[in-house]
Amino acid sequence: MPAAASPSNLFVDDPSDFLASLEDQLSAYDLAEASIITSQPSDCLALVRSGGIATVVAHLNMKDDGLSLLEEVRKMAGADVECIVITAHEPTPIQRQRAEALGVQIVRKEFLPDLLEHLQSPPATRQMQQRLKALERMHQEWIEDLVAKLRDIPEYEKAFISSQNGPFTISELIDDIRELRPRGIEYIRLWRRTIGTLLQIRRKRSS
Amino acid sequence: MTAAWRNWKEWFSNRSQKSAVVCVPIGAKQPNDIVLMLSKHLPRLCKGLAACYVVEIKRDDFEILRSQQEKADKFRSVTVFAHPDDLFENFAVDVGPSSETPVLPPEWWSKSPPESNMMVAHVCQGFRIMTTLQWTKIFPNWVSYRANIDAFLVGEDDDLLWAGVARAIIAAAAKSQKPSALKNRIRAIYYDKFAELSERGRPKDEVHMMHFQAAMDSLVSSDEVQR
Repeated sequence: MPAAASPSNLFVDDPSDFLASLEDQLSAYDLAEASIITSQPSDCLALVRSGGIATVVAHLNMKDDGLSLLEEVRKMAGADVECIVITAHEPTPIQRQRAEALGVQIVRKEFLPDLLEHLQSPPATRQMQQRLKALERMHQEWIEDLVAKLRDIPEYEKAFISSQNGPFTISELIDDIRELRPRGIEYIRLWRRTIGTLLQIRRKRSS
Repeated sequence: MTAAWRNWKEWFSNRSQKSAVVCVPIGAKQPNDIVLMLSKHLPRLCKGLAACYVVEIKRDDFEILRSQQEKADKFRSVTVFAHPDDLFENFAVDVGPSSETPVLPPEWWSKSPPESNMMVAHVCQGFRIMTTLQWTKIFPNWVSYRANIDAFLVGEDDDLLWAGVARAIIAAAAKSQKPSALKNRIRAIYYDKFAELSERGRPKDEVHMMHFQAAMDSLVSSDEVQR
């Protein structure tokens, strides 16, 4: 198993023609030194565990299932490692849903040059982009959660919240949240703190 | 009149005079305005707890309030439920068509010995009012809010929920000696209501919880500002 130069790109696939041709393409993009190719998922996890891996690219339909492998990577490295699956075919809706939930980007093989170009950018930049994406995802989840709760309120289109700056309906609040207007942002922050207090209360109760 | 009744009346009278509540629904332009709603509940809620003055828009009410000025020095704590004025220098009041004198200026309280007075300003961004020199002189000890206080009042149960909070705040003001302690007590009131709501699980309770959270987060006491 080759030693990982820090930081590195890691490509994982079953032995295949694609894997064989990948080496030449990495050289063409001057990425050979910064990349590791392996056909062993266990090697992949060992390398991620040892640190220094910025991006893991797995084949979606490899024998051990690319998404399952990247799920393990996520558990191990959190949001710090960029996870990508590559595929020649259109992913199924379930695969798409799973990839989205894991924060895994899907790249079609015909866009491999774009991916390699992306890997040429400094790993620190890529890591920053990765964290940004993770935060955006988390933010989106908070928004969806809050909007779902607000939509459960009976007749929310007509229900007013009174405020010093003028009354507004729950329906207007939902729009503000979706459009990330100042009032919407304020309520998203408030929702996060509210959940924090709820957790605190539950922890106290259970202890 | 029996001795026991006299004693009780005296105790009640003294107790009532230690705390005052002033509610000024004037300026309430919204149908679900919290101050307007509280003005309907407070006279009942204050019984046995504090002297209650609801300042309505009619000029007569202002005169009655003005006539209570001598009593002001007997109040150890005053809880105000009101709106801020446009400049955040006073509580929003309407002087009425026939009077040009502001009704609730700081001078209204000036007979009170400052060191014994505690003010709770349940007012949006009330800390801006309380930190003006004119109010600090008279009420150096206070608890208020940094942010606006939003409220979701769509049913009678929502009104009663906030009325319960208001009553608990008045009681907390009556028994607190220090602003920091009063702030902690008020925080605990919101926290307890929050915990109650978390067990009910109705969709609108999530909104109440957010508003209680916002109130808890923005509570501020005079000793924090002076520090």
